[in-house]
Amino acid sequence: MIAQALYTALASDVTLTGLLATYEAAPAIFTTDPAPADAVLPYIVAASIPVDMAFDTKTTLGRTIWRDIRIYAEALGSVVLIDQIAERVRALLHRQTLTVAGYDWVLSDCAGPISADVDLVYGRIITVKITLDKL
Amino acid sequence: MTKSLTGPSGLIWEKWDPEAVQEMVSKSLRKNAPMVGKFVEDDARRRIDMIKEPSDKPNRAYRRYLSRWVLTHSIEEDTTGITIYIGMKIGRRGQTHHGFYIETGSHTAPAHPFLRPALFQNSRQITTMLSEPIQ
Repeated sequence: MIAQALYTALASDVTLTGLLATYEAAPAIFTTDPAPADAVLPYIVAASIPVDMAFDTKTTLGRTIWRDIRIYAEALGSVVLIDQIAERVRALLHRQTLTVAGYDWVLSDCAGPISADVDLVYGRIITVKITLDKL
Repeated sequence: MTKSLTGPSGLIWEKWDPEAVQEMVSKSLRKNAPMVGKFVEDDARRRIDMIKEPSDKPNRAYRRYLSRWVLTHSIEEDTTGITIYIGMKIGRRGQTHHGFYIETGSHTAPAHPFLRPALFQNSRQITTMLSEPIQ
């Protein structure tokens, strides 16, 4: 449900998809971890859930879910592209309403981007904290 | 200042004395911080020990090395407060990213968060432990 909401929020933005590669004719945004081996950079992996906590009150049920949005691009000597992607992802998610099936959206809050470069690949991670009330 | 040891947190303050309260809270944190540090470290260790993939020998050995020798906690106190650090020691050759790509994943490996869940999934228990009364 969160995966679908995040995918929709990211994949429906033409500015972001214009910066990403495509995979099977769709924007290279994956909700599986890791991305398929034949995926071409730059791409986004939005799969890891480090924290999933209750956000309950006496009368309501809710959840706070963290999701790591990982962005990877080829290391070609400039971080302009990956930083553009990361900033766009942040702009699309930070304090932006998400439509999550079965829940009322309360708040989305982003931390990062932080650097996660490896060898010949630049990496950035944005952790989005999403708080939801159960319908 | 009067106090009794009848409340669940151990104290009921009947007259407000900021300095006395601050001193009591400091004493309580100082006493309970090592227990909390060990608790979160142990939970992070349990989580890293449960990771099965990648299952090749070097990766298994690396996770075991992190779990047995590198994962730690420390407590620092200064004029602003008491801080509990839980994480990886800086390596013998100055490595500062031990375990980072296990926690966050990379473009080739899936994420296996172990550090953030150990803290945030236990936040209620940690709060309770930190407020254990001083006998």
